[in-house]
Amino acid sequence: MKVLMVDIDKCTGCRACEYACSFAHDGEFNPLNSRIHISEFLDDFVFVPTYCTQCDEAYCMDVCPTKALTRSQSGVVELDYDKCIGCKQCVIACPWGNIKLSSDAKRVIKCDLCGGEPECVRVCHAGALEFVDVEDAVLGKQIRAAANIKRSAVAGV
Amino acid sequence: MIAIIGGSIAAFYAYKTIKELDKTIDVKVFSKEDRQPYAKMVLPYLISGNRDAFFEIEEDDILMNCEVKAIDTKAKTITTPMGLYSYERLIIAAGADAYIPQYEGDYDGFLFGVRYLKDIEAMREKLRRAGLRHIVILGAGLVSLEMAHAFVKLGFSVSVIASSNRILSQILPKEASVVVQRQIESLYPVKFYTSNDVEVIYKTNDGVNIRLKNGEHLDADFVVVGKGVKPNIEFLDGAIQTNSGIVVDDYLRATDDVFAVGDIAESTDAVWGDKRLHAIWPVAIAQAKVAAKNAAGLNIETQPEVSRNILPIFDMDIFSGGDSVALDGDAVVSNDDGFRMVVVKDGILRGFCMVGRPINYGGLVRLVRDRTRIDRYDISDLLFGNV
Repeated sequence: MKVLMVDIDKCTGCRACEYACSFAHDGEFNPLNSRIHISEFLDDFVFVPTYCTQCDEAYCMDVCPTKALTRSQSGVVELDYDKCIGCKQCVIACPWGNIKLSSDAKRVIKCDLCGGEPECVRVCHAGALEFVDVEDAVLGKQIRAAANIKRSAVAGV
Repeated sequence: MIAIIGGSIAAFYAYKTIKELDKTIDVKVFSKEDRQPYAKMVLPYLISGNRDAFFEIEEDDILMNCEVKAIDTKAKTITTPMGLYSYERLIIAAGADAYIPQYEGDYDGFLFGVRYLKDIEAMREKLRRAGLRHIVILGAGLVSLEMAHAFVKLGFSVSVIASSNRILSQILPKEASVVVQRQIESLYPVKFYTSNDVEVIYKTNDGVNIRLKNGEHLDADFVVVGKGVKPNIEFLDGAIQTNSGIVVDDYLRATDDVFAVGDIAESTDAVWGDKRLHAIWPVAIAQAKVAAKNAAGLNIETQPEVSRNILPIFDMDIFSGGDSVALDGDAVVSNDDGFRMVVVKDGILRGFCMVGRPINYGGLVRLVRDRTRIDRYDISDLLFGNV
């Protein structure tokens, strides 16, 4: 299974992902309608992209009274607008604020991983966003951690 | 056997959670209804059309038309129309029924609560043959206004009779009620009668005639009552300690091997610090999952809950949580964009209510529930949801 991964150290806060996301879904460049959101912490010059993690035990899916939110075979929590009654229970339920209302407040919007080819990843020039297999992501982290330990060992710390 | 009393969403989620933990555990759901569980919060939406709001329990595991009449916590048995059943653990999710006052007059078959699918089905039957195309709703709470909106969408006009001095009095301060009432009355065929009540209701050739306390007469196709709910605790008959509902500890336990969840449970409140009924959809689901795990042998503690409501009606969102009428604390109000109010006491956000355009819903609820100190936020950030 592939997941969206973020390396906060690499994010430059350029917001290309937000523009790409809203354009891919709604045909307009409107960061307010982006499913991915960059929070700026300018004091420390840190940028944190947040997006739907497609939780295993998805709060939004649990509270949906009409089963408009379901999990697809590839593990994505998808919203069926034909079934959605707009009660917004999912918006309140999500602890991370990653399922939200569109800027005109008419619809609930959430990340659908663009059907398997996330636009945000495609436009991320900094390489902060990756769409990778879970196993590869973990392996990559293990190797990076091992490299750090090796550096310390070589330095004799 | 783990027995679950109830046939709504809490019963369904308790069942589902146990089966997901271990599908070999024997679970039986005792429902007084004649059908599978469905989403009660969708009922007003069903006035104007069908929605998939059913949640399926394995046929062998649900006993329908099977209202539990009594429980015996010593013998660990429940009495039902289909006989006596023994349980090892019991989860009570019997919910709450609509409170329907008795009025003077004769209106049999023309007055409906909003609690069961059969209520909606009966109303839809009447709506099809309605000649007056006017509905009277008693009570001006959340369900009443959702129903009013549903009737308006079908082209009906609505009169709403509130005994209190304002609409949505349980969740909104006077100032916000006025904003909501003005918005609805100026744009939709809805008229509110506040500080008023029903004197007598009589059947007529076309429907019913309602005489109000102020002497006015209203003709309507039928009457809907939305005056709150009361927990279904009668069948317990002292077998378990009850207050308004069943008082539970932080593990949702009422007494040994007996748990209570959903609209019938009185659990710890994050704002008031006491035990109270929360009786809202997301709390019922969250509690059902925890009680199910605890009934299956785990030991999971719940966090205090906070009452909150989101009401998307008449082209606005009404969002409230915690102490949303400023009973205790300092209210800060902004009229810059709809109506917004936050209630703060001792550096902690106790409640809020917002009318108009939506903001960061989840964030505010979380701040209230977690008793977060709000020193690091500007009041305007709280009012406009930048949290």
